[in-house]
Amino acid sequence: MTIQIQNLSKIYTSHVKEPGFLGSLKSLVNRKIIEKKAVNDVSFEIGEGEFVGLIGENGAGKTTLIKMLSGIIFPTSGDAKVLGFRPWERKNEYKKNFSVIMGQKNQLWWDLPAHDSFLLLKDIYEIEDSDFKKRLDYLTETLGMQNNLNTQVRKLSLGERMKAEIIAALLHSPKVVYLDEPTIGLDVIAQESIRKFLKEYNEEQKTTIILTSHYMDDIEALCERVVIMDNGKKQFDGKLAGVIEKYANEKIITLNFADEIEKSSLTKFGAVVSLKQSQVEIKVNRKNSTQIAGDLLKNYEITDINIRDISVEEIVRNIFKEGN
Amino acid sequence: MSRLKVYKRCIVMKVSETFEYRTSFFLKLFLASGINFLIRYLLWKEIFTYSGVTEINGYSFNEMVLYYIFSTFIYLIVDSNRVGIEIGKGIRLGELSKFLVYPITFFEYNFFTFFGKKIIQASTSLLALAAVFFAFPQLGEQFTITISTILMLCVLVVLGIALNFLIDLFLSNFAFWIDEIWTVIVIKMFITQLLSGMILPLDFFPKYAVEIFRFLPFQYILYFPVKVWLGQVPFAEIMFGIQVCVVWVFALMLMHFLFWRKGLRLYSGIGM
Repeated sequence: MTIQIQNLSKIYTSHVKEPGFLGSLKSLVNRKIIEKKAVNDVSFEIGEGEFVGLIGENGAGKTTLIKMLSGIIFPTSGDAKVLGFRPWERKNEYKKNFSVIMGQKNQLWWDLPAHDSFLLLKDIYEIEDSDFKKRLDYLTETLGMQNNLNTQVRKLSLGERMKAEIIAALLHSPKVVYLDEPTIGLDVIAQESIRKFLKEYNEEQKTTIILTSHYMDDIEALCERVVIMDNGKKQFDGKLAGVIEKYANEKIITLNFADEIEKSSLTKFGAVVSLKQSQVEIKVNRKNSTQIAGDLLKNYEITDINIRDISVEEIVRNIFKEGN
Repeated sequence: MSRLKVYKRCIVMKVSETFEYRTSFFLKLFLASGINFLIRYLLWKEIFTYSGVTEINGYSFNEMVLYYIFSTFIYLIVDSNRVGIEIGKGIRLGELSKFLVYPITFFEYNFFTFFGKKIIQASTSLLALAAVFFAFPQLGEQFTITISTILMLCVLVVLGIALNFLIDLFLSNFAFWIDEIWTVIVIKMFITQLLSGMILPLDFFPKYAVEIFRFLPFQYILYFPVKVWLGQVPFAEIMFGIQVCVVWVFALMLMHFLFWRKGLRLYSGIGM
């Protein structure tokens, strides 16, 4: 097993401050300490070359878990081994074999072209000249970044910057990669191209990858297996197909009618989620959503129609409700 | 050796980054220190004129001016206030995370990027100093300098850089406990300015204070090398000073690593 996590927990302590100036004064003298279980007794294993999606709402503990696996923070209790190393012991042999990409943080030097940062990483990770050239050519080509390496990072677009970050993180051929929200804030085209790249990369290089994302599309395109977390606890661990079948077998159709509409006349199509004057949201079965949409368009005068998946957030909420 | 390659690269990166903002760099470098020097110059000019004496505490007016030229110059090279603030910020805002995953220590990375900055600062300030002596040749007649003095000055300045850097590095650890360490760095700045002889030559202080200063790291950042430069320190005292510096360098490093190890346990990588 490449990654083994056993009963891992992390408790953060912080103090609460009452609002306002008086609250500040009070907290100077007497601080109330509160504890938050960010990760609560989580265990699972990941094999070599697996691409696992880690999903959950904000504050579910995904990032804390990744921070522990990267050795950035110490766990409060429990144990984990990645490639045979305990991450927070921060052994150089471990550091040379993993990488972490954070969508909201950058490791590239802001004021210098990305290529300069790559050279620094080459020296830090002690990559041979010939390997470095091969890796860099391969990565820039597959990500389509040939023309952007000599521009200062601060002048790149968000999508280009993310691609440069990905190149930086993969230069030393890590065996394990943690991706924390790699597509956050990107437009659909950039998201799509990063997704495509990651899929190919995982298949070709047999790299073990853990991905956290808010976009169900990311997870669906990339991960066969998902681990769902809620409130620091592991709620689900299994095939993604299972999750979608079990929890996301519905789609939401949003309709704008030309005239006001009665709720009762729509119930035969699916469950009406919301009805605001002429705008209606209907939850329908995933399989025949297009057919229902067709029927609706035939029978009513509709000015706008939109079909979307249930978001990860909603799925997680469903799972959490069931857990209770 | 591959380690040396990383160090060299850190230095080169910092040099290139500094050149990205050369205007701001030169403004900061020369405007701030130029004004600082001018204030002191005018102040002492008035003091000498009004008191009508030719010597105060053993300093003639010209020696006083030289003292401030040298101390301004050395301060430009050894100054490290940014280091403490930057590292403190890194800890508070979670930017430290990316260094924790590199197979190189945060300490090495910071020291050598800092060193890269110092190289440009030292060379540009040296040019400026040469320009000052070229413009006012009479200043050069105030002192003689030998090869051995230059060598000892180099040693002392490198030690001064290390001391100042390590004090800041040590203080930046407080960010693990108190988050915002700006005030800590400002207090350190005031203390260093006073005790390093930046505001006033240290021989203006009472005898017992001067004796205490010999054992503290601060005077070796500025006052001591300036006095060596002026040729006013006997050889035995220079050797003593170097020993004190070396002891402090190791003591500060030890203190830093002790606090660093404790602090890292509290680090939560906020904002990642």
